[in-house]
Formats: sequence, C-alpha cells, structure tokens
Amino acid sequence: MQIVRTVLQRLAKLVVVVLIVSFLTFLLTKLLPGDLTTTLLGPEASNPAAVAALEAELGLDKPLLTQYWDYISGVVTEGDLGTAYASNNFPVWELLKQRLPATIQLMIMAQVISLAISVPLAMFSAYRANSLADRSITAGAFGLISVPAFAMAVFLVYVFSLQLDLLPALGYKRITGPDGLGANLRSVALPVTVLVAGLTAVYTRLLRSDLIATLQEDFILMARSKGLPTWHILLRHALRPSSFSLLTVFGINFGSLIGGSVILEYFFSIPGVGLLAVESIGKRDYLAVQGVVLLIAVAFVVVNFLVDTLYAVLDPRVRRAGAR
Amino acid sequence: MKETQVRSRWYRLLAVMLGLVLVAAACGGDDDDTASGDDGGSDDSGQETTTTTEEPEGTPVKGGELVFATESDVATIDAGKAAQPSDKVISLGIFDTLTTYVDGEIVPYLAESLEGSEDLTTWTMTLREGVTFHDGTPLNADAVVKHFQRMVDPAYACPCAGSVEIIGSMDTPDGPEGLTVVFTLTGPSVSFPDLLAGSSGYIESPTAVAQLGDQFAQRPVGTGPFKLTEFTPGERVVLEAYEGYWQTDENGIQLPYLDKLTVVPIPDSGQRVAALRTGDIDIFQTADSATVATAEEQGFAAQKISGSSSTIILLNNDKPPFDDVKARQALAYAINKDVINERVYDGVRVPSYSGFALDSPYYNPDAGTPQYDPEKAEELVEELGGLDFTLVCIPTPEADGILQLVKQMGEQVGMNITLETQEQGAYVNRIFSKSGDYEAACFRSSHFIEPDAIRPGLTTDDPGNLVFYSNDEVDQLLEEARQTADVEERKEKYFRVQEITGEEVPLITSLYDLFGNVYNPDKVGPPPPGEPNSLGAIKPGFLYAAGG
Repeated sequence: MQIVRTVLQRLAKLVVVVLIVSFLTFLLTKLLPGDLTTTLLGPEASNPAAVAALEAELGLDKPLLTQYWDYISGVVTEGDLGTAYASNNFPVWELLKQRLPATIQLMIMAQVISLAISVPLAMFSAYRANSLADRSITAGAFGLISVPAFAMAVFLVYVFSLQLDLLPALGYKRITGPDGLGANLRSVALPVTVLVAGLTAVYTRLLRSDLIATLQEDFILMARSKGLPTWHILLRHALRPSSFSLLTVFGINFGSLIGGSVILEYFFSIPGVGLLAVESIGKRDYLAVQGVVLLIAVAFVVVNFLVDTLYAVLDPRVRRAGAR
Repeated sequence: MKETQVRSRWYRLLAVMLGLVLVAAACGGDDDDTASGDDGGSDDSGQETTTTTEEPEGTPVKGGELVFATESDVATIDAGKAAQPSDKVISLGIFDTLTTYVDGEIVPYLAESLEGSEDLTTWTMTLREGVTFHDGTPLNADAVVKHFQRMVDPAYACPCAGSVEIIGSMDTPDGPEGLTVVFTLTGPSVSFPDLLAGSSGYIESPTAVAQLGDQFAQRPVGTGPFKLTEFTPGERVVLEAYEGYWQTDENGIQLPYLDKLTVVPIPDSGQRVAALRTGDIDIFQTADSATVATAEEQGFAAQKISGSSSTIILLNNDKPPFDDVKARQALAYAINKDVINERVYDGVRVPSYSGFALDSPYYNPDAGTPQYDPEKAEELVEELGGLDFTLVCIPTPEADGILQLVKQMGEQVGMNITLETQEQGAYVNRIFSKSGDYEAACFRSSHFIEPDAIRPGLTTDDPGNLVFYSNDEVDQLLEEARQTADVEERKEKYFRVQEITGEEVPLITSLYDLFGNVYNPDKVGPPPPGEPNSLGAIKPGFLYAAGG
C-alpha cells in the first residue's frame, strides 16, 4: 500500500513537471521575435492579408492560453502532437519517430560503453590510488574532458575516414536499411567514440573519488582482514555504496543525450532529435519544438524516476528511510 | 495599374534571398575553411561572371546512380515554394517549369508555345501533347489552371502569391482536357514568361493534390524526369527515373540519364569535401567559395556559377542617418570591395556595382555607382558632421568577416559603426516584415536574366522594397520598361535607372556570389549549366554518371 502511494505520488509529480516544462517552452518560443508566418510566407509576410489568413488557418490568432489548451488536450486525449507546418506538414509524431532511432542508438551505445569502460577503470584507479597508473588515467581523463567534441570529431574523421579509410566520414545508416547492421555500426562508430570519450572521463573520475572514500571505511578493512580477494572486495563490497554519484549523473546524462548532441549531429549529418529541435526553433515551428521538448521532458522525468527507484534498491538506507 | 502587378518578381527574388540567408546560416560554423586561407585565388575562377557556364562536354551515358549532397536539409520542394538551391536540385527533378532559359533566352519548356498579345496583357499557352504526371494523370489545361489557383489560395500560403496574382483570369478554349490556356493579366507585362521559369511554373498533378491535400508537400508529384520515392527529412531524398518522361536529348536518349539520384544534406562544409574523398557522395553543391577552392586543390572538378546573386547592404532610406543621400554615398565610397574579396573570399569573387549581372545586356558599366574613394568618403562624413549607425547581420563567419572589414573601413574615414548580429529567424522577420527597424543590414539579392526583377525592390511603397526607397522617375521608368518587348527601349530605361540609383545609392552591392557544384570527375560527367532562375541549381535530369 505504501509503495503504491509512493509511486502514485511520484507519477503525479512527474506529470506536473512535464506540464510546467511544456507550458514554459510554449511561452518562451512565442516570445521570440519572428514567427511561423514569416518562415512560411517569406517576403509575402509584409502583406497583412496573407498573414491574417495564414494565422487564422493555423489557429495562431487565438489567445495564447487557448492555443496551449488546444494543444495539450489534443496530446492527452488523442496523442496528437500537431503538425510541423514549417517542415512540409509532417505530423510531429512522425518527425520524432524518424529522428528517435538515431538519437536513441547513440545514447544507449554511448552510455553502455562508457559504463563498461569506466567502472573497471575506476576500480583499478581507486585501488591503485596515486600510483603512476592512476595518475596517468586521471590525466588522461582530464585531457579528454578538455577536448571539445567537434575538435575530436574532426580528428577522428581525419584519421579513420580520410587516412585509414576504415569508417565513413558521416551519415547514419539505419539497421533496417539495405546495408544492415554492419553499415549501421560503422556509421555510428565515430560519433559514439566522441560521446564515449567525454562520458567515460567523467564517470571514471566520479566513481574513482567515491571508491577511494569508500575504501577507507572500516568494513573494507574488515573484509581485507578476512582475506577476501581484492577483486571480490572491489566488486561486491566497495562498488555498491560508491555508485550513487555515478548513478545520478548517469541518469541526468540520459536526459541530455535524448535531446541529442547537436554538434555531433550537425557534423556527422545524423538525423537526430537535437538538430530537429534547433532547426525547428530557427523556423519558429512551434508544434515541432513543443513535441521535442515534451519528449525530452518525459524521458528525463522517467529516467530520473527510475534512478530514484534504483537508489532504493541499491541503498538499504534509502529503503529504510522510505519505510518510516 | 494595380499594386498587385508591381509585386511581380521581387517576391521570388526575396524568397530566394530568404533561401540564401538560410543557406548562409546553415553553412556557417566552419572556421577551418575561411581561416585556413590556403593559397589565394590563383585560378581564373574569379573571372567567371556568367550566370551559366559553358555547355557540358563529354557524351552523356544512360544509366547509373549518383549521390548529391546539399548544404542544408530540404525546406520545401512544393510548387511555388521551393526557393533554396538545396531544394531546387530536387524540385527541378520532380517538376518541369512551363518555360526555361536556354543560352540566356527564355523558351517554352513544359509548354509547347507561349505567345503574348501586342499589348502584353493576353498570353496564349499551348501545352505539349502526351505528357503525363508520375501518377499517370495527363497534363492538360485543367492541371495548369488548378495549379495557378492553388498558388494564390491563401490556405496554401505561397510566398509566390504576390507575383502570381498578376494573372487576372484564365480561359481554356479547348476545354479542361485540351492543351490550350489563355491568360489574361491584370496589366501588361513582358516578364510573364519569366515568372513561369521559376517554381511558380512547376505544374503539379491535380489528382495527387486532391488526394493528398496538406500531405502533398511530402510526396509531390510532377511531370519531371524523376519520381520521388523517398523523403526522410534530415536524412535523404531519393529520386528514381520516371520511365514515362517526355523529353529526349538531341541524340534521342530518353531523359533522365540517371536511374537514381539520392540527395543528402551535409551541413558542415569540411565534411562535404571529406565525403567526396571517401566516396560517400559523388557531387555537392555549395555557396562557399573557400570549399570550392579546397576541393579543387584535392583534385576534384568544380563547375562555378557566378553572377546569379550578390551580397548587399540594405540601407534604410526612410530614417536617419541614411535618409540623407550623402550618408549613403559616404558609406559606398568608404567600402573597398577588392579588400573584402581578398580577405574573406581569397580573391575568388567579383565585386559588384549593379543590380544586374555583368553579362546582362542591361548592365550599365557607366552608371556612376561609387567606387572605392576614401577621400571622398571622408569629405562627405565631414559635411555630415559625422556618421554613426548600426550594421546588423546574421552570425556566420562570412558575415563576421565582412562586418569587421566594413567597420574598419568606416572608421578610417571618420564613421562610427556599431555591429550587431541577430539570429536568422528573427532577423529575417525584421527585414521582411518591413518594420523599418534597422539602419544598415546585410542581405542577398538575386540577379535574374529578366530585368523587370529589380522593379519591386526599387518601386515606392512596394512590399518588396526593403530599403524604403522612393523616386518618381525610377518608378515610372521601371513601369514603362516592363510594358514593352523592345529590347533597345528597355535597355535605355534600365540604363537610366542605374544612373539614378548610382547617384542615389539606395543600397550597396558588394560581391557577386559564387556557387559551385563540386564533383568527382571519375564518377560524374560535367553537370549541365546552372538554371538562371534557380540560383544556379542544375536540372538533375541532365546529370549523368561518368562512363566506364
């Protein structure tokens, strides 16, 4: 019963957050100078009759609150995210559907690979804190964090596409496309590498500091004195209590990655959500912007809900606190 | 003479400018190209000033598939609306225009013939026989009439509506299934055929429009050499040859030459060249002269198209400081276009002093437009007691370069220039809405072969007049010039207009733009000439894969 109440409470908060974010974005985009009618009409925009006709047609002449209400009630009751008028009248959900696979693939691959690399690296680094190996890893991490994504992207393309001719310089080949999984993996290899570089560096450093702190604890001393092997101590005893910062940042990164990495999408010509958002804002394509924001807000909120739940699972202290 | 006629081509022109602004914004962000400088313009490319290039050499072969990269994603490929060069490459494949330019002369294309009456108000068009749309619908008078009705329908919201409104009424003497349409214009206009050479002249299938409604924009159907088989925004457009296409080349080969053309957007210019090197693409289109130079150094071929547009500085003639002709002249004298050319474009472009292309018969070389003369500029600034103003532009590296140079040049002669940048969406709105909320602003203007194109930009109170210029003599000359077909008479008038604007400087042109189609000569045969009314975009039906 308690759990159901908690979950329902959380769900309610989720919905409220999403609605607030959606409404604020709506207001902000409307506040920007310039509007959808100018994008569509171009020079004809100085003709008030044409502008008025178009605004009436698109429902832009209604009061702001009415416009938002129409929009959100359409979303909730019919799942209708509206039409992207400045993108050839594609339904917004269809645009999102087209763009999500690339973004999700980059996001999941980058996160999983980063975790797979950073956890062992951090454990090794923490175990051998302040050794040469550890200091090199730390320096390396700093280095990677400092290199801007586009610089690394250019470098990787130069080496792997132009010099070695191993990977394509740009483009995204869908898994369902004619060239299958192989082409797909090759097309995402470079952008994922850039993402992984940045994420791994951050995760390694985060986990390493927490692990070092945990390794000072008494219970670790106790485990060592029992004669348990090092890897067992690290993995079974030290990792869990040290993973909370990592988990938090990991969850936050899901939120930001689902917004797509605009620079990488631009550079590698990847049809992702980030570029869609930026282009739609530029065109003042309100409904497309709303759609993307809604997507990001929901994803963010859901992921963080899961992260919170994971805290409760991993940390008995949180479980006990919740039960009181 | 109704206001509507006066809007004629400037809307297309401005739609194209908008497109260029978007293109310029899209291809900004690559410092590596402009900063690397490479070796300067050692080639002769800068001297090309024709709006089209020479005839393609080589023998076209039938068959093959190519990948074409554009600078930005598709904005829209629908009839009347397709404006950016990136869009034109696709739309010129899906649609045919009613008329087109061949060697600088306008000729019927999808139409079999187009005759104007003596007084230029009635135009009789006969369509080609046996032409079908991709969905099998026959091309007939009904399709043409429905097309133009759609162009002016407020629900369709076409930027072309202003110019298409010149059509007062249409008649089909042989009935809707016949091939004749008679247009009665709202006033005499010699430039009516020119209107039909751009995207207002794309004829779309009425059956498809009726079936698809709003969704037609995603699956346009025309009479062109290619059918649209895939359109995934941000990813690619796939065009496949239409077997029922009406046109064959002079050797009897049925067009298009290619079986399939895939168009992909590559926003980053460095990546465009990289993609050409790795073979991910075969040809790309760019407005960035530096990229063209880089690609040529790497051994690729480039078709260069210059003179179809130029960058300009708009001056607000309606309020201080540029309501004073001396201020406008001062700025014009202060700008050294050769230096801008050297520093920003590696000397590859050509300075522009006119609204006409250099090879246009209407170009007046003695118009007296101010050339670089810092002393004169300084004198004028002194007479004015100083000149302070704000110059605004969109934030691309190219614009930045130009702005900084103009500021320096202005300061050298005693001006005080504040630079401002504004994000493209808001900027375009500011200029197009004619709020008058600027003093000096950068922009782009197109040069069409048809000289009447300059009229809306200079005519008093015309919506296309972004600089609020007003001169009665110019208004009259421009109106008269479009009511006669006599080339000598028109030349006289346009020459006089250029003299007046050379004196009054309503705006300042800086350099002719250079567009390039860069390609791998091992994979692609020489491209066809650029289309004058499409910013140099090529008709993809004439593109062919290199033999062997």
